Amino acid sequence: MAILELLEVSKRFGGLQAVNRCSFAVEERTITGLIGPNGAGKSTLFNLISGVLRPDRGRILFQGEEIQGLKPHQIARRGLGRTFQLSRIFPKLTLWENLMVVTEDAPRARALLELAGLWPLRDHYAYELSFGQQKLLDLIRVMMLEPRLVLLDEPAAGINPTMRNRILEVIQLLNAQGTTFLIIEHDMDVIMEHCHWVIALNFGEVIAQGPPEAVRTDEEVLRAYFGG
Amino acid sequence: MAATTEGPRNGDERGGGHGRAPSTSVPTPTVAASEVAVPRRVARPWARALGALGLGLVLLIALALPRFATDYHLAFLFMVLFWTAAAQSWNLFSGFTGYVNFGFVGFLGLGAYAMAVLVERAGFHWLLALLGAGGVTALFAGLIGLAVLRVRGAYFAIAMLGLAEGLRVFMALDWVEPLTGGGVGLSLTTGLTLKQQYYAMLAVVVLIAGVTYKIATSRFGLRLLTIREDELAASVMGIPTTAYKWVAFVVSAFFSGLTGGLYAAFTTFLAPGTVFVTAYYTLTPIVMAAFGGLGTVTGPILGALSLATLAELIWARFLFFHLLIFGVVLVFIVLFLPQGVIPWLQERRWLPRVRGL
Repeated sequence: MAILELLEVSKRFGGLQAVNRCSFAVEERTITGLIGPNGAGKSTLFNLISGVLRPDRGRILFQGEEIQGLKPHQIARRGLGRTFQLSRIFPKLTLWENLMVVTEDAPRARALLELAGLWPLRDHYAYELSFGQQKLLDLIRVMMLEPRLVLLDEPAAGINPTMRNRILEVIQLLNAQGTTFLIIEHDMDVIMEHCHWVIALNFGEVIAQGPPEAVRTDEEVLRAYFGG
Repeated sequence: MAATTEGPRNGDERGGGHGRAPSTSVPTPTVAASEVAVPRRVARPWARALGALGLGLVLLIALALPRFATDYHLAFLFMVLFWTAAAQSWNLFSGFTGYVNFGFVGFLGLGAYAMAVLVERAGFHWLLALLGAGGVTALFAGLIGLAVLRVRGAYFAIAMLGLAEGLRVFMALDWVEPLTGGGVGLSLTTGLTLKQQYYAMLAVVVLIAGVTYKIATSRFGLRLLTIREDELAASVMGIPTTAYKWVAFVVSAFFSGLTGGLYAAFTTFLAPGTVFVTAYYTLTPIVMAAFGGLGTVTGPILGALSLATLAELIWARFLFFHLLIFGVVLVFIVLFLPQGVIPWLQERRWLPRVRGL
């Protein structure tokens, strides 16, 4: 069953058609990859789904209900979480507070901090963490929403391999426990290894979708990435 | 103390069987929590007792001071309390949310005028008029908040500055002259002695400090801080930031109104040109709150007590020179202490990192 469905969603910024009649579905309990060259409209799509931006046209269904007119906090409370490309943790709050802000579920917060290996650092300010640890905090903070679906904008980009594997491991575990993920990712190896389904975007339109192997060899996708 | 900020204690059972929390079969970190010394987020009992003792002592001194004070000293002490209340009121909204209220003098002035009009024109008892001053200011903030809280950063600051200027012009208008005395101003007599004014202002200071403490240690206060930290992130974490800002704005305005109302009783004369002075009544509380620490409970008190005293000492010796002080202090803060004294001490762990401080 599809947990998220986009129907003919469009968004224009001045003269730029950032998202153009985009339609796709994210199946429940999958890790779905969203790929495409820079400027393809991936982040804009995330902003539209999470309510940060309003679509000009089209409908967005989450668990069968329309959410496109809702405010970001309303969408979050329905169980649709997101992270940003650059971690937007609350720097001058402690790790513990970063989680408590969302909901005061102490056992859950503790379990998540332990899962991420951040429990010993719980009383540190978030800005005291390393870049990779901040990404981990970002990931477990959104899990405090008890989300059914989480949109991750490059969760593993720009960090050392050990920390990256740790983050991907955590994502895999949370997915195994029932959370659906839609992930923007540029690293094809990550996509191939972790995603069940891949959606490719270019110029704001879906140009291909399918299992990772199929999309990787899709001619349109290759053209989008390498030109020619 | 509110339990909302407390972390799990070491004896807590592990998270098994709690809703959809990740189960504990999950590979856990390599470092056991007990091996790492981590300061707690809640003050230890002895620290709290020490804090309560210090607080009681300060309060006792504040209560006893008028017994030994001349009228000159009493007027000075009143002004110290006035600045404390002002800095705290400003901090309650701006310090927590990061929205710089640059029209703070508008709130103070509105409270002062409401007090004067209710006492002089409507014949209210001073206490009732004072509550009215708080109410009118809160109502005003509640209405304009619907509009101005939609803009952020510098635009919000400029909008508030404009509103304060608008209020100054409004008070001088011909058609409100029967009430406000127009450009000439109006005087009021509350019948309060200087000593009574002092104690009333002390009560307001204690009230605001108590409410700020309650907010700072609650989830509401924590969420206000997330607006300062990153409002967009807060909203995608499910926090209705606009509603939170509005509530803090109105509460801050209520206390500003009380503060301005008592100031009117103290000065006994109001005119638009002497009340709505941004460079004085807006900037001073901001500098005081920032010096002590934004979004803290004790920071604005510390800032107001120290800077108001400093200004008075210098003013007594070099007339005019005190005008320079706040400029110098402001530069000093921006360069060396942008986070303020209390947070600076917390960063070094010389003070515990608790939010009620």
